[in-house]
Amino acid sequence: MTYPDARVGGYISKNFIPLQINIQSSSGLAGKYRTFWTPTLIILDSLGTEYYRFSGFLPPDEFIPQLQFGLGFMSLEKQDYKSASARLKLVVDKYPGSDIAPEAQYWFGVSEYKATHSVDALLNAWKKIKTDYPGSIWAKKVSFVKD
Amino acid sequence: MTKHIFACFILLLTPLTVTLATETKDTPLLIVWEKTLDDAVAKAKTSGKPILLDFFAPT
Repeated sequence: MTYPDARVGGYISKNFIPLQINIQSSSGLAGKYRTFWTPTLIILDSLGTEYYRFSGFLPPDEFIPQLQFGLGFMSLEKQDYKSASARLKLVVDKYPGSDIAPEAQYWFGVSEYKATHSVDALLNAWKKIKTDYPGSIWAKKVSFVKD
Repeated sequence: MTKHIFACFILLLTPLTVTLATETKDTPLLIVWEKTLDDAVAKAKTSGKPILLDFFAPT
């Protein structure tokens, strides 16, 4: 199970305000966030605005990287590129074998480009997807990039 | 006398130390879930942390 894992509990407590809602008695909250299946995890900012979500059970080794990616993606959407790059890089560096790592590397490149307008930064990040995650869909998304 | 008191102190302290070490290693950290969006938003604004919303269905 995911939540009883000490690493998961520690990660959530450190990084989030956890909110758990029973979908069967959510009094409109499931509708507000267009949720029809459980488990569905949604990252909201302090105003309650949604920035990232995923559904379905994940074991701790995938669950924590997903949450870390969600934090990075939220920073990216908020145009806080310094935070986005740090958070997304952490996914790749700390959880390189996770399924979300190649996507994190993709958006890390985007964040670096947005921050610096350096095409080289973008392409270098994307080339790393081709070498490190050649079998991922994210490698296909950057397959037009020349080596 | 001092040696005796020190030995007693060690004997009393050892199980406590072992218990604390065991709890730190094996006991999961409990997640304190908020129950309403309003409460979570209030705490998020105070702490600066984002909210992790988990929709679940009781089994």
